[in-house]
Amino acid sequence: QTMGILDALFKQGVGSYHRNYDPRVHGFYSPDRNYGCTDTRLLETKVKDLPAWLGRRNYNPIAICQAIGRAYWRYNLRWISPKNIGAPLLAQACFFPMFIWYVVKYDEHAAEAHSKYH
Amino acid sequence: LFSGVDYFFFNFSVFQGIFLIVSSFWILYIFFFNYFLNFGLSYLIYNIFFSVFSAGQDLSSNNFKGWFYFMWGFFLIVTWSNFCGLLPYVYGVTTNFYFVLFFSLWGWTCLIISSFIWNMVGFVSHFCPLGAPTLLGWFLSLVEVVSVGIRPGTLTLRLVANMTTGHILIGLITLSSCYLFFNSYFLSFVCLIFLFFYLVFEVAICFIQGNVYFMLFQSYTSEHL
Repeated sequence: QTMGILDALFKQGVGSYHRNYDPRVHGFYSPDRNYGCTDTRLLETKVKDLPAWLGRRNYNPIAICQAIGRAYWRYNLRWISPKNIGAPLLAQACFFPMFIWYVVKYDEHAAEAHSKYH
Repeated sequence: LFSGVDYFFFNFSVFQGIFLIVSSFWILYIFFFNYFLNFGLSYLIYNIFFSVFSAGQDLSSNNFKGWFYFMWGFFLIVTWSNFCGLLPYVYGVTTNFYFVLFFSLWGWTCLIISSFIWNMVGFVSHFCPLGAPTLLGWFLSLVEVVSVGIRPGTLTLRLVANMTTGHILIGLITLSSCYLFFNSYFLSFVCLIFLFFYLVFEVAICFIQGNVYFMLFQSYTSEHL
């Protein structure tokens, strides 16, 4: 019997809690945490250990999608879900297109100067 | 408005613009997924967009309800592009006639073809208004055909003209503030205060123009029998 796409995903663990998640140990489920990773964080890794660290990563496409989902929830829980978010979110939304278009149209405005002589 | 026709203007690709605007949509989608919140800025923005969402759904025709989701995408594109056009260094793609015409013509053509295939007699009957006198019927039908055929143009021109006018006025006010700076600091400052309030007004115009674009498209589906 051929396995459908959904069956393959369910077998990989998509759609259910991580097998290492234990509510008695971890408390409420937090979608921004990686319950299957006990390795050092990237910013705490020594430079000489970086190739080995990269070799230990899971490059499965499903794992990549799950990492993107965790990043989304990290951003959401930090910048959007809190009660008083204020201006930082709008500032980030404005900065992103400004940066892109500055780079794309650099040739047009590179020669501009506020004054002829300084 | 029609600078895209100029021979040496083509240093900007419509597809490049679409890619750049769509790639910055991630921030808008993040706003809409917080339907379980009951407080904060996300709730306010969600309520504003949800009111437009529900009003647009009410305007949809019974036989064409799925079209609403295409139009919702148009609304997001137009509103976000309008807002981004106000930012420094960002090219406002909704000031480009051909960029907006791409969406207007595509949507209008889909509506016409779909309503024609679904109910040809009903589609054609819409061009003769009810209760029209017999002698004037032919003329009124012509008028209706022209008014329906010109819809992509009006949709496009309305949006492009509003956005272009806003940008021109912002530039003029800023320019006057710069020139006044060397004559009178006070007048230059007054100009800047006026510019601040005009920018707030322009942000509201961005949302309103997107809303108008979306609502008009939704009202055109009501003629789809």
